[in-house]
Amino acid sequence: MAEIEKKMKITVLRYRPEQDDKPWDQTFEVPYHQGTSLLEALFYIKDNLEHSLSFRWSCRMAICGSCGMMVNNVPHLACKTFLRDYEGQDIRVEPLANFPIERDLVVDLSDLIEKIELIKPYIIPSEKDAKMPLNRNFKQSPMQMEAYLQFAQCINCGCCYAACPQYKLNPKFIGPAALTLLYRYNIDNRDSGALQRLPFLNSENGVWGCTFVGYCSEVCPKKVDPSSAIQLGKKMSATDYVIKLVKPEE
Amino acid sequence: MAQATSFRKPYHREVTATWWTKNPFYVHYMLREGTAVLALFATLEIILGVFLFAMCNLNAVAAGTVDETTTAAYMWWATDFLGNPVVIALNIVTLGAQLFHMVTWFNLMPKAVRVFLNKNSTERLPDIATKLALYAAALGGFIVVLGAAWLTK
Repeated sequence: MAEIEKKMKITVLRYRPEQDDKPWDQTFEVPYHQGTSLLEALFYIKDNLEHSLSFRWSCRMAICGSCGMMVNNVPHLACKTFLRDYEGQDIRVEPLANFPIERDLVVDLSDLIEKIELIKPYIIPSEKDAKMPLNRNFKQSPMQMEAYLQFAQCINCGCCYAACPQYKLNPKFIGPAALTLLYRYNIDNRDSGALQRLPFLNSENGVWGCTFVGYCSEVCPKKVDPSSAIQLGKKMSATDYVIKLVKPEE
Repeated sequence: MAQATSFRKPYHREVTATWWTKNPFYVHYMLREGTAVLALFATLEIILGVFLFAMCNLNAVAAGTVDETTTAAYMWWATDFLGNPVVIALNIVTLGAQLFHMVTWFNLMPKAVRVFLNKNSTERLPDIATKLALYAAALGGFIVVLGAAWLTK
């Protein structure tokens, strides 16, 4: 390579469950150029400096959502983070905050996955549509699609949960990504499952557990804007409350 | 078949009371929410004033005489309490804090508004429209309060 290689100090929080009681720091010197991503820097460490370093990755292009981690205390996708943006600084990499550390940079995301499952993140058709023959399609205008499309871009990377102080303080909080998906399906014109999702939306650990810190939207690598979906979910929940006051269910 | 051994030992990081000092975004958030303490001070201050005013013998005031035994407490609130330099300083800080809260809150509010301009367009109401509406409402509020204060001075 014609470019002059620069070097950067990268400190990684290590944790090996078989031998460590608590996480510890290990610092590496990694050469980099204009196009080196943090994920590539971690590859370099694993290939040349410390073979036992564990981290998750797959697509290398911000699609799979596997490589979420804390970079200088901010949740980022390692593949979408470039060393050139940290020139003159050292980088400190830690596993995603607010999740239990499984090993090195690998966290246990089960809680996030369970919460996403909980809110029924799939189209629940109305009784009429459920009987629709398979060779017929739902109709959706570009406008109806635009209503939810932004909220459908989530890749379940967990960055928003790592950014959320409410989730940090109350792990029962359903959290940004799951609440965003809940709202996304509720406003989809093909969906009729809103009533089944309302108990989660309305609960103390649903939208009302959010205090609008807004950091989830700041760190989201896909610009999903979870805090927007949650505030809109609050409106949905409040509307439901008023309707139930006027017209109580049996 | 041999029993598989699990070496899993998930490590849970401790949450310290200083978590919000680690990131400027959280500090900003805590400042915004912290203005609630000063709002509480202002609210108690006003409730005290209204309460003491309600204790005054207003019939006597209307008749042109002052029943000093009932108005003394209110007069203490209006002059001694509100005139105290510490209270004046606190009120100025409170005003600043509420203005800070207003600006930061209005900056967030467009996130709670997702309105499409018309049925056939995917264009959304711009953020600035939401903010301008909120500032107009705030300005209206200021005018009402200051107007009422000026009319009753």
